[in-house]
Amino acid sequence: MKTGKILTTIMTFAITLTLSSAASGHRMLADSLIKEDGTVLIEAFFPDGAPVKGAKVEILKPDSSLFKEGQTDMKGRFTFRPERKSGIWKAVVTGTLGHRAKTEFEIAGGQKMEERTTGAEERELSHREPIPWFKVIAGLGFIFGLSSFIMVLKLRTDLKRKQSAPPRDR
Amino acid sequence: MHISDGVLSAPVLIFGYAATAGIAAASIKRISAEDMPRIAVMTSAFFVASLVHVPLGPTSVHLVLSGLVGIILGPAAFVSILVGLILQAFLFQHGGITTIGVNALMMGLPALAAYRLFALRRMFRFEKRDEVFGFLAGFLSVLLGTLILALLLVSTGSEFAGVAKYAALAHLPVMVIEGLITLSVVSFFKKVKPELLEPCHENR
Repeated sequence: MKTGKILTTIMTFAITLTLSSAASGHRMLADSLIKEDGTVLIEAFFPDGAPVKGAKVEILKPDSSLFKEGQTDMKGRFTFRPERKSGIWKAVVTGTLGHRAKTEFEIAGGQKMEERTTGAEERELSHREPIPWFKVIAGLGFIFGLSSFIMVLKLRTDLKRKQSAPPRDR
Repeated sequence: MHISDGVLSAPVLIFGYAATAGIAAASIKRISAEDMPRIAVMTSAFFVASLVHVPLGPTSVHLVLSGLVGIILGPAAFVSILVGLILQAFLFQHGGITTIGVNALMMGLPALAAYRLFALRRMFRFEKRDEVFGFLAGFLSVLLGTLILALLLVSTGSEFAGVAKYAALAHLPVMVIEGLITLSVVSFFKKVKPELLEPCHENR
């Protein structure tokens, strides 16, 4: 009976982990690409590589005025043709559930120039990110360190209180 | 289920920080030294849970575990979730630094609600009451979280019903999975170590 319960528990966890693909968590990233034909592609995606569909995209000119507004398509993409206004343009993507990401790109007279992106360091076909193992270990270390510290503090106060209290039952 | 920086207005963020500070202060007072190992383990579980993605539904969602943390820790759950969220924000860039307050409300309040809901099981006498209430606590804590999320997004001009419906739909797979995880953990503890199902401060 007990073994059955434990097996059920392990099975549930196994099924959960198979259904879910482990990847970096719930934040949104945006990326920009200036194409050969002069149009600009904005891509929004989650760290597991899933596209952000139907998110609001705002394109800001170098002087921060709004140039264009739109929505990402089913692949999380939004394409537009910028003016020939040189400078650093910005794209702000706002998801339906409180997510937001920004990306910047530089246009110099319509020529392809370097793009700068905040949030996404590299562009590949798959946007999937690896699990940040070192950060996980760092976080766990912090949690256990902090709780040990609080525990020692609390135990010390308890001990002091006991020592200073007059002995009973004598 | 983390709101990013720059989405909400300053008054909402300040309100989030103030409410979180108040609840955390009340919650921290009820922690005793013997509870700390348990709190550390549950905080770790919560901290890592958001790395587990659930690739079902319209958007990308992940595990929250607020219901389970609430059941096991009781009133101390709020502090545990706050610490987990701060670490997630700084290490994984989940949500944002300015939104730690509102995010703590969004996941911490459902944890407290789950604890209250799970305590109601004592009013019933059927054999599987722990399992049933475990599932409900896991399921409803995520649902409550999505409702708080929709409520917060109303301040940005979104329409409550629309966002709430979308958020609830997106998180439906997570609700079911969280319910099942909470159910299996509860049934496991019931067999192995039933005193873990009594929240922290009631042990003394």
